[in-house]
Amino acid sequence: MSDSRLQPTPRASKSPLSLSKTRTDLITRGCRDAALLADAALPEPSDYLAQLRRRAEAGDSEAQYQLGEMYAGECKEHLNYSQAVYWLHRAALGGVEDAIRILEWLAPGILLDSDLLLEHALALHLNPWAT
Amino acid sequence: MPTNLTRQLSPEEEELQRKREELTAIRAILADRELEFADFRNQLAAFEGRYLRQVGALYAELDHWKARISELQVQFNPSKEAKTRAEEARKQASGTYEEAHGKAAETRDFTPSPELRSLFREVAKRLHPDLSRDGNDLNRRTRFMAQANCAYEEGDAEALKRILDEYQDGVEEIRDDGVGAELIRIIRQISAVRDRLSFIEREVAVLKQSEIALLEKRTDERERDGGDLLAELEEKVRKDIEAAQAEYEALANEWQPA
Repeated sequence: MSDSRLQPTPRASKSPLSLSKTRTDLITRGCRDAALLADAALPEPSDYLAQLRRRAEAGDSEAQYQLGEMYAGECKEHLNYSQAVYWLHRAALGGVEDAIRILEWLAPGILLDSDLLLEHALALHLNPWAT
Repeated sequence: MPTNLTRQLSPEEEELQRKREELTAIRAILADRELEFADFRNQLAAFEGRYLRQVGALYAELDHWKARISELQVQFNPSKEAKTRAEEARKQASGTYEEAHGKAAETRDFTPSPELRSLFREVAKRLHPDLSRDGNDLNRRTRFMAQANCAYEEGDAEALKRILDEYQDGVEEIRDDGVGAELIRIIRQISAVRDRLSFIEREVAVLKQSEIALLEKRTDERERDGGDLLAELEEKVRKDIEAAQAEYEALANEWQPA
């Protein structure tokens, strides 16, 4: 059997392309199984949404931003303009700059104001003080 | 009145001076890149060794059980297709075993000391084949550089010191070929070094896209999240082996030779 190690040579003639077929297969199998393991570890989308919402309601600005972004149309099935503006507004008040950027596009001229946010929350039957 | 004793350089000499400075700078860059390149390759080879020992050996065991299942199936159905399948499964199992237990699997963790790295950098700076003056010099440099690469991979600082000394002992007097000839030689060296730098960049890009590099990246990411991807893979393949063993035993119990 030839020595197919990744040997350093001055001309680097042994690139990964020179690996033997079997060893490449062995590595491919590892990559494939690693991808399977990663997929199996992913939370169910509904669990993920519930978890995100809990974090957002507890005051996590990053979660509020992610939730707002999702409602803004990242995923068609969750598209909801009012919810998007509300959560991005909260995230913006929490200092997330990207939330301000999306809000400028989604609701031009919106004032970043706590009273307005409260009004918005009541209209959506949400509790902005929930922890 | 002060007398200026400094000889005015000719335009060719000025150009030569500029090119010498450029060569010095680019040699230092090349030495850094060669060191990074060697580190990257050696770290990847070390990861590959770890992967082959920890997971590859289990894939070999799994293939062995799959081959046994195929061979047993031939007893039930001694058709040509079944025999071919069994032969292929056995061939795959042998190949996987050889690779998983081959020389690559022996590569251990690569953790060069600062002294070793500094020595290798010095070798790359002084002995690099792309800085050769002529054919003989190129052969010597290529040979020494190959030895240096092996010494670095093996963490042998003494060997690197010997290579530096041996090369220095064999260096001929620098010939005075005149400004024009030296200028041409330096320009060629700069060009060769630039080619080498581009080559390293391309090779690193290819290596980074290789499956082993991507697997290493995933393993690092998993480690940052507090996990151990290789251990998880190990657990998965062990379960696959258990399933294959159970399948084999069920088949073997079913088989009653006439």
